[in-house]
Amino acid sequence: MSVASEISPSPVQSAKERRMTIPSPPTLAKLLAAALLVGLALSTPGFLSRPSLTALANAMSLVGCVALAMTFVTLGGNIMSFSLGATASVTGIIFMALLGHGFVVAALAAVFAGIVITALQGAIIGALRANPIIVSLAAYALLIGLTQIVVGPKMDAPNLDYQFLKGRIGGIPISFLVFAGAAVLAQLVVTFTRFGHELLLVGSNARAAEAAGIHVTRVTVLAYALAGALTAIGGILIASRFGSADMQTARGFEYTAIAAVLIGGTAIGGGRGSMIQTFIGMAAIAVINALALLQGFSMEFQRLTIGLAVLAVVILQGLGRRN
Amino acid sequence: MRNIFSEDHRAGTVFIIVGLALAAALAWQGTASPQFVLFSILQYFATVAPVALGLGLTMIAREFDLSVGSVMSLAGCIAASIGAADPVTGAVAGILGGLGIGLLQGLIITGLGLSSISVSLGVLMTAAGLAYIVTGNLTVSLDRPELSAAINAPILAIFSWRSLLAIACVAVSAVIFRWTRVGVDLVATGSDRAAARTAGVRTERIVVAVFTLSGGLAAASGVLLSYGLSVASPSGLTDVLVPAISAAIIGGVSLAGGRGSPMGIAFGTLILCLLNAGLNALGISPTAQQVILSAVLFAVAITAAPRFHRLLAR
Repeated sequence: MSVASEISPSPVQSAKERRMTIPSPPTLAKLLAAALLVGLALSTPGFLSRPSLTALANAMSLVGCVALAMTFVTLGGNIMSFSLGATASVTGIIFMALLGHGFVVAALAAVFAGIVITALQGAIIGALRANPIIVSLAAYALLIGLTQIVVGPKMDAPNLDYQFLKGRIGGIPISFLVFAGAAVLAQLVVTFTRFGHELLLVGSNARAAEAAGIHVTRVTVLAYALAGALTAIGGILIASRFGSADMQTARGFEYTAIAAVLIGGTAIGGGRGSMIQTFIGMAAIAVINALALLQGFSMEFQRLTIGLAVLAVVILQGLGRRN
Repeated sequence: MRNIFSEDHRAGTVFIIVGLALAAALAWQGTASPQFVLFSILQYFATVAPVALGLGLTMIAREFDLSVGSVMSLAGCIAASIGAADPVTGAVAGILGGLGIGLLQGLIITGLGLSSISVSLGVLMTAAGLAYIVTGNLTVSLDRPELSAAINAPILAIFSWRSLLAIACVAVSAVIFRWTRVGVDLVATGSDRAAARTAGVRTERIVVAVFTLSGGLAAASGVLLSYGLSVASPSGLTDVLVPAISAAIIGGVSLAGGRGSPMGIAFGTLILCLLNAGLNALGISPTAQQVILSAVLFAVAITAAPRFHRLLAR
């Protein structure tokens, strides 16, 4: 045991070491992983074909919006939200339910509902400093149960107003354009607004941020509200893809989303990271999945690969912090 | 149980009252025999209590084991896949798998000084992936009706092998916690780690042990559940987390660490089981029950929040 206690530093030591920031093992690992992915992609026949790339862009845009939403949660120091997948499903159902009143009304209502659902959690987490994991788990279970009672198993589209979301502009799927646009907008918010700066400060040290006069509750609520809006956009895209909405299609999206956030390199403790990194992380996951499919691996291995990747990233982030 | 009535757990008392009220409603209803009611309460207890105990012990040490849900389903899947030919080997393999995952997790957390939520999130996703591979993304059925009947058969009217094993887990850990130094060390590790280390507590060893135990207990619960149901499926990651966390916090475990005990956690689980049985007796649908249980967790999360009492005082 004495060996183990020598290996693990006391908190004081690790704080000292943190000042010397040369994150060489993580950077090295990242470069290696990227090179490996690109190499595999180029050597896999059929990967660079047009249908394959279109499928890739489609696949990443649906979860991608939820991943951007998750980035707001993670950046603000709240690790992850377990309720985003369920929120995407619920907003998709609301979108389908109101589609009879026109696309704009339905989409706005879905986004509004997404904002309300997550901002309420943000208020509890921000104002009471409640545990974000537990609040979001409770919200997840509550959303699933309530939707089952209120809506029933499934909500079909009343008309075809949503069909244009499945189309393409210049060969690029519209859903991908929406995702990319959302990523750029979210990045602009983080980089250029006062809220963005405050979010990063709150994420890196909420107590210090509060002492510096930042309204932590307001920042947290706003971060969750933005997450809700992005999740709702994801929900609308998912519902449009399938022409119907239920609680199953977006099930487990929160896991893929947090995987994209972490693989992109955003710090799990908050305060460090970006939307563009999440975009890259999402692309990496989509490429891994597509390659696994083309190489003939089954669905199950994708889950394991992504789980192991998350575990590796978490460990590497810890190592990088220590060096 | 020593912390359940303490000032900062007034929430606990509220839930006790609600639980007792529902128990009264249950007795009033009187459709089923009291033995059967107690039996079904203990059957639910058998599923939740080991998981809540493992998770609660990590919370006492000021850590958090998110992975219990997927370790539970992985162990169930391993046991069901192997157990069709040889149930004992299946059970041992499942539980050893859980212990191994827990040990590895504890070593990563203490060895590298990482936050347990992030590591156990990774382990949760990895174990879920393993469960999908073990079963080939299918529901595995164990063709041994006599085994599941034996595991769930009533013993002394209200117990079964499954619930007796859960009670034994609770009893053993309660004795160790109450009468050996381990309990004191565990609480010290959770309340002030640096001070505990200065005082000579081997905090790393405690954390590793707690995570190993948590993995093993979740696995045991998963093995027994899948044997009892005769099936195992790889899905259902977070479903057990909601009752397990609720039970631990209702039972007096503090999210800030350093508070709680195995008996308290068992008591919290029992209150949840009573609530469940009361709702069943009132004829409330499973979906509505899920809503009520998640509302309970919401209430728990809010009342356990650091600034909740400041809000009340205002």
